[in-house]
Amino acid sequence: MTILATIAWRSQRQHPWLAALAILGIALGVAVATAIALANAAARHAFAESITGIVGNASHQVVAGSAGVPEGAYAAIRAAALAHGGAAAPVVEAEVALIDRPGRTLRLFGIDPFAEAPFRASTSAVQRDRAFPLARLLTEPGAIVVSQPTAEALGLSDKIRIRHGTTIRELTLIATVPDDGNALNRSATIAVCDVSTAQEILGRLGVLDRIDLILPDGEALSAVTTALPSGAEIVPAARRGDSLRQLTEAFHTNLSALGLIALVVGMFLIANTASFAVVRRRELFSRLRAHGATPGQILALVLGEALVAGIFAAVLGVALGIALAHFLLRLVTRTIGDLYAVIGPATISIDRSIVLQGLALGILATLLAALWPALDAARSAPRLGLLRTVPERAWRRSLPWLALGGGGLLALCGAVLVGLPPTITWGFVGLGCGLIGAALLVPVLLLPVVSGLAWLAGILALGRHPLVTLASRAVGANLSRTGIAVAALSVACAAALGMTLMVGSFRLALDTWLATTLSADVYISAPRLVAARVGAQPLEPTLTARLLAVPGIAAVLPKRDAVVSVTFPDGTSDDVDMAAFEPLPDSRDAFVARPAFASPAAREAAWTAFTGGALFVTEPFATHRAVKAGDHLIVHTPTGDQRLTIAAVLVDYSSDQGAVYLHRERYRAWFSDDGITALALTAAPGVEVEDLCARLRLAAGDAPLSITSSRALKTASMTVFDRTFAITAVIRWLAAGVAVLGLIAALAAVQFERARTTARLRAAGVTPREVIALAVIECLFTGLAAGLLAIPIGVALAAGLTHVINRRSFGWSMELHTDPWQLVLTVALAAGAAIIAGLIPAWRASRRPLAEALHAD
Amino acid sequence: MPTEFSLRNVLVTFGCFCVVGVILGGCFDSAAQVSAEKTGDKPIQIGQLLSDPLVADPRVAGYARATVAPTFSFPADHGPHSDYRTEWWYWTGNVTTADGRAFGYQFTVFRFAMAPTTVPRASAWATRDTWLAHLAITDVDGQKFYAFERSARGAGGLAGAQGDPFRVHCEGWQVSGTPMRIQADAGGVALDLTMQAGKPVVLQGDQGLSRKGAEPGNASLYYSLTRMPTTGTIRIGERRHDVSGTSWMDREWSTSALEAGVVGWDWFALQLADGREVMFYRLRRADGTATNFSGGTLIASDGSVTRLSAAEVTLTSTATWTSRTGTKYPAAWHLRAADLELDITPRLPDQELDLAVRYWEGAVVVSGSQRGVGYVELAGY
Repeated sequence: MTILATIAWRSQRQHPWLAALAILGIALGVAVATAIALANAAARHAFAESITGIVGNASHQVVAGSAGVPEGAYAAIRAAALAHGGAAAPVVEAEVALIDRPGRTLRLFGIDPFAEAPFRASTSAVQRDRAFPLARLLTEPGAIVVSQPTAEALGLSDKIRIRHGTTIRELTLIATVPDDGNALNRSATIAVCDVSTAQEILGRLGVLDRIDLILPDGEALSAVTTALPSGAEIVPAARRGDSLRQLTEAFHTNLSALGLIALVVGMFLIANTASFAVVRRRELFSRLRAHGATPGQILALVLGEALVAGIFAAVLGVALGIALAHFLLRLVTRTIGDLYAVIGPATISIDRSIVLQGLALGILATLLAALWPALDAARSAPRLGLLRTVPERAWRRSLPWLALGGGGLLALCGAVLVGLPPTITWGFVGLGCGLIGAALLVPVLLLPVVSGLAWLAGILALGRHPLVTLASRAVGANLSRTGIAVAALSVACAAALGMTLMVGSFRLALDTWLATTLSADVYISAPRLVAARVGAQPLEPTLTARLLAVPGIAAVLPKRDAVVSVTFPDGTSDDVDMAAFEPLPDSRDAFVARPAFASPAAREAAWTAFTGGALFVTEPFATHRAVKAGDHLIVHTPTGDQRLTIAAVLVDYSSDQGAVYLHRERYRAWFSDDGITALALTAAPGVEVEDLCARLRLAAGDAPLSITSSRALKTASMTVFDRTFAITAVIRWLAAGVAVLGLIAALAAVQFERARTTARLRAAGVTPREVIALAVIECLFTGLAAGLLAIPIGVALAAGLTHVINRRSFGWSMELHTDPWQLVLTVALAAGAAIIAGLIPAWRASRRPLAEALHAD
Repeated sequence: MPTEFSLRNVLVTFGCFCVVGVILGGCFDSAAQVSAEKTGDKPIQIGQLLSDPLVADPRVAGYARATVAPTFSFPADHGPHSDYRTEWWYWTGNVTTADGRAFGYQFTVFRFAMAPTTVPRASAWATRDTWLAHLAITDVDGQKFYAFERSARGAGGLAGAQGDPFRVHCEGWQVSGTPMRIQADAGGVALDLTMQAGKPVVLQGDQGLSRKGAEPGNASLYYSLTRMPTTGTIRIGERRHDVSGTSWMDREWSTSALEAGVVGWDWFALQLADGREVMFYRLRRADGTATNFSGGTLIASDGSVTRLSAAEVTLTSTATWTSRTGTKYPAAWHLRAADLELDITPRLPDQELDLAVRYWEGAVVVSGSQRGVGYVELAGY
């Protein structure tokens, strides 16, 4: 075996850069997968800390949506909890903006120091310090306490100006406490204050955002339940964290899947390199077999090579992945911040299990990819290997099997997508089967496609130029060496195309939706700190009156965003986002139902029901909560529970968590709440929208309001969208990069292999320039074929991503828009990559001294 | 009496007076059942709410001071006196079942102001008062002592007091109505006792002004109901005991009282079989001697009051007892005053309240020239 290894090492050393390319390819695959895993883990961790730091040891919570729990109920609830060996603590909290630190926020966390200890070690630790000015915290208006790191990170001084909704207030930092390493301090920028201060600063007089509970048993639970006021409900504390976690989970799953695409492409690359290494040394293996080497030894030899390469690649990949993770994490946390919730600063920690996974993934993927070529090598007969035609013949014989395997996987893909539960994971499994199945079919289809291209070239009056004919035939002749690389390129291009088409379709759908939805001219709201899950702060009534007095307003559409507590048909309850508004009759067209209304009459009926108190729900809401039109939801309101029908499911891309819509009149009656969180205005005829905006801003004065024209709002929305998908673009291009590396390796190998043929051609009078032309044409054929084959695969993938993954992850449905320009670009990309890949070795072959090349023959 | 001192003295003695200190935190309501081990984590303590008596405390500024005896008026004066910094309602009593099973109990509610004036605040949770309550039951035959504490802000219906109709409450524990009714439970034990006024109100000290130091204003306003016929139930675990006996109520409020050098006190409230009561407190210096501001009262069966000066009472400790916490307390006394020669013995040695503030307060029996029952408080040990 030692001598075999030496022989193998020497033969590899003849082409060191081939091995290097293969190692780099798989390393990139491992790097992307590892980086995504690390970034996901860090973001998840930061997210979980943000939640647990705040939820603390609570087993349950009393919540009542954004209306809040009436504070008068607290004493009875606490007494009931205490009487059963439990505990209760009030919380009033909100994210507020720091005026002197634009873009930074502080979570104002109002608690009762007397009730806090059993719940949050950190907030009570704050008070355990004897020097702690507790009396000031309790008695001084606006008094807050933050941790030392938070104070330093935000550069807080004694007086801190903050904005909440449209209100600006001043807080007094009375003390900083050292960082004791607990979750609350480490992961989030939290300011602890007394519950009275939080009520005053946040405008939550008379209500609590929630009451945290520790309930040791069912008896305690039922005792507290009987003390609940109308509109409030009691939910397990873990559930609130869970629903937030689930929302981001789809995002993490999608990223992981993207990472796997890069790895799969890397696997093709290894398979290609290994397979080429076998084909190239077929003579060697045959001679070794003739000298007595057993098939097992040959198998071990090839797999051994792969193992060494795999270890190199895995180590390199993990190292690259750790570096890349820091970059990805920024994109991940920014997206989560844009879409879900403010999370604390996340940091990459080198998780040993993720590192080991990356190493194992790299090594196993390499071995798996090398298995088939290794078996092939082991099978080579002692003498036959000396004949060049044998491997090509064997390859051709295996084509029907490839076709069968590919077809089988495609069928499996269909079965998984249709037959198995519609989860995101099964969706990816199905798409994965489809993608690999398609990859197996690529070599099968390559020859007919290249023949077709050659025929086309003939028609295009290039005549039957001998170089064209030679090149097209050469592609077929070298299939055993290029087939896998071409398949890899096709898959990578298809993946990139599929992603691009999906994102493009999504973008178009959003764009169209915004165009119809933003039917008013000007939108006014308090600037939001996070996109979701904030019971928005109502505008001050005097401010609203001032704004509406501005001349040039034709119509006003007030809206109230709230969080309400809802019980679903399956009996579970949760807080959901609600938008209460009263659309102008002529803006009803902006609301598209899915499934579409059967008739204009059905549409009218739905709107009549809505006006009468029925609900509309958005598509993501319907998907995540498994409800449909005609179902009933119980909405808990301060005036009692309301059992409401879902009149229709509406298309809405504003939030992937979904929302329910309620007529504002009903909201006002049931929630006794006249608050307005946003205003949509229509400009009077002849009034310039920008002029109107300027006048409104003037009227708003110092009030921190976001006054935006519909055009600017649309631009801002698209910016967030593009930012969200920036990360997928990065990963897409990484995958494509892996594929191009693979192709360069494969085509270069072919050209070197063909040195003898080239030399004979040159001896027969073909000029070096023509040698290069021949190589370029051959690569062009290969690249074009790969690109053309990528189109159906990419479109199918895009359809899968759009209709399966997107729908299952976020609940959005949209039309697939196939942008022809993207198709052309894909083919051009594949062809370009192939030409670049083939050019360098061809150029070197053309420069090789003729005698030397012939001598090698 | 006791607790005012405790505010100050424990501060002096333990450095971190936690005491009475309001104690935010973990041990609220945690059973400090004496038979159970309680170690480690002290609850969060807010000693700073209370001032250090040794230095001129700016936080005294702005509060009313006890300098002259006011005209008391009831039931209004059963209610809170928010101008003063500290205030308490103190009930102790000895009760027995029909078949002679004896219990002692203590129920105390403290109010501490965190600021002399109220800043107008919009939130109903805003307050300047912190409330603390202690509940203790001595099960003499069961040889067990139970002690619990709770604390809350004086807002949101969580704690507070009013004179008419009378009510003082903290976190679900309360004393209310006329006659007064105590309702409190925690950790499987509960009190539900109704107390008749019994004898007339006794104004302690000089017409209710009880001077604790030489400096004017170092005094409290102090009155007592010294023999309140009591009936009701005491629950220990699942068992309810119908009981009857006598209670003693102390009411005291002040802004500052103790003087430098005082480290603790021993306080006695004794109800004698002949219908008389004795109240005596001894303010101790570090060397164990009493200050001249120690003193007491002898109440005749008709309610007439005789003041007892420090010199008129001889108090000798005749035994000691060391608690689990390693604190050494006197455990029996001989008291001589007027015609009385009394031997005072705890009903259980272990009646130490190891709460945020550690002190001994327990039921005692009296023998000697008169038989009787009573309560003793030992602070600053």
